[in-house]
Amino acid sequence: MTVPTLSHPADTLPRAFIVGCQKSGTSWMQALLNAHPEVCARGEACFGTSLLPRLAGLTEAYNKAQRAGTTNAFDADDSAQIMRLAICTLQRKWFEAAKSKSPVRIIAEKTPEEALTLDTLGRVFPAMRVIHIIRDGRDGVVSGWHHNLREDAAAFKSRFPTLASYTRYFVEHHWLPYITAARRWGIEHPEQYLELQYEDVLDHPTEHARTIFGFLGVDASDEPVGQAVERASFRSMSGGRAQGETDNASHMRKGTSGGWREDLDQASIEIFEQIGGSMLDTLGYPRAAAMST
Amino acid sequence: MSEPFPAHPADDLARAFVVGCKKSGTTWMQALLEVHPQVCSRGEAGFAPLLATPMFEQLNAYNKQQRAGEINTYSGADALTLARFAINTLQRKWIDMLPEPERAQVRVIADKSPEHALSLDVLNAIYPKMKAIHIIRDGRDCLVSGWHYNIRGNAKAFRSQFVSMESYASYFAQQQWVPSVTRARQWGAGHPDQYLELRYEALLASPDEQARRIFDFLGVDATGPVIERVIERTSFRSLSGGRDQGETNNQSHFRKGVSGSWREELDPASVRVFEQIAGDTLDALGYPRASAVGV
Repeated sequence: MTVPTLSHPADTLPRAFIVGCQKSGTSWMQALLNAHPEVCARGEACFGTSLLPRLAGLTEAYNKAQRAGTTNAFDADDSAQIMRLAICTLQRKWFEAAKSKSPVRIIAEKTPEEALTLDTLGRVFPAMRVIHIIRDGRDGVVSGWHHNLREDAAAFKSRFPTLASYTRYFVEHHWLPYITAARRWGIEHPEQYLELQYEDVLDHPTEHARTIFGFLGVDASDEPVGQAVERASFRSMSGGRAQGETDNASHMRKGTSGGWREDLDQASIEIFEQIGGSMLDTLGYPRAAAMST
Repeated sequence: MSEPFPAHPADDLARAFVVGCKKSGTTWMQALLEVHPQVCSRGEAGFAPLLATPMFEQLNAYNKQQRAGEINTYSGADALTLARFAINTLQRKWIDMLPEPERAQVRVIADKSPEHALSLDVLNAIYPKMKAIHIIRDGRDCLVSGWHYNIRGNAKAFRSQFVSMESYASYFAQQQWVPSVTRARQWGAGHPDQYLELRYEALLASPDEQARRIFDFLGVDATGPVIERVIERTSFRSLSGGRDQGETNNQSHFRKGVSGSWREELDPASVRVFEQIAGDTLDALGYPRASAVGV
């Protein structure tokens, strides 16, 4: 009797995850990756933050409901396998939709918050590659401020009446924890981890794109790299604007770095540096006092 | 690269689900199946309420959070595939745990979960060719059995919830017996080829005939020697540890092994309450009312 396979060709492809604090350029990275002919990159699947915890809860609850001493329970490998099939189920659809590519050799997913769930994802895809993009959090605050005003101004303003209060929240609950968690994972899995700084990629996009695609194990020669960089450039993604040409209503707002120096008030800068100062130092971002601001 | 999701021979085996109202003889039925060399039978997995339904709920909740279109969400078919995979994951272990010569003989994997009487549609969606074995017993006997069962198990909590047999009778008729019997029969009416209905009373009276019906239904060996062995190993005497039918031990799961003892053991008020709620169902099943049997 033939036993049917449960697998799909897409299931054996390597996996990559793009993570980083919100407003650090994760969407940009996703666009860059997806612009490469051999990469299928999608966003906001929230696998680590939503799907996997739900499935973990399910199997745990089932095990608990079974009488003690029973052999009718899911072990760790079983749970990981169910999670793997759940993710593959969706990623097969992405693969099928990307058939025009030449052929897809890696499947990538971007959810900023997965910076906090890399261990969970790693149990499901032990060989996964992680691209962690970091940005000066002070620029992140400005970007986040405008982003939230675009999305839901009333609710946002009542929650954060001042830029300073938002800054405190952003650095404490997002910027610092995400970077700390992702870097810790990177130290434990150095071969599978690539860290980039938004500002560097902005300055030398082609060089960094080459590094990224090399890291992903896809064609890193001039043509596909150049094409991807062009398709994911600020000009392309903003609908024709040059870097620095601001449109606060756009997700691709400004495309520059360092704008915090004009856009952040003194109180916010102080709060940020009080909480996130040593991380800024570690990452090589100069403090406000060190510049004539 | 090795198979990411290797199939397993157990995945292809036929599935059967033994269902019925509590205390209707489902455990006995499970024991019967367990003896048959071609059936791998287990109890209380509760797949539908404990695994499949919660899984559908979680996937729906996940879908609701997704903004993108359908390729970032789970379809109904996806959810069924995942549920089947999760259940198969466990059932593969049931098979793997059997020693080699026994393993090769198995044709059917069976689970006994009484509450599955209410979820046959869910199970059928997951296993479209599954078979349901529904055992029915006079609800008034179930009631007596349930009373003793609960007194054995968790007397304090039970007695505080049900101060009298009468209050338990009302609950049992309304929440257990009528819904269980009705829903399973309803499903059976819509899927006659996948449904076998048995009476506990018939199993008591003519076990070999009923056993043959069951094994024919499952498509496994229903010849003399197998039936004999099954009957012998699952007789009341065997299961109760040596007692004859009628020899009561209220402390045992295999308490009495007879039918109709509700007529002595149920007080008139409880009978009245039960028949008030479940009378139509009793009639439909041909169980005579108390008044008709001089009780």
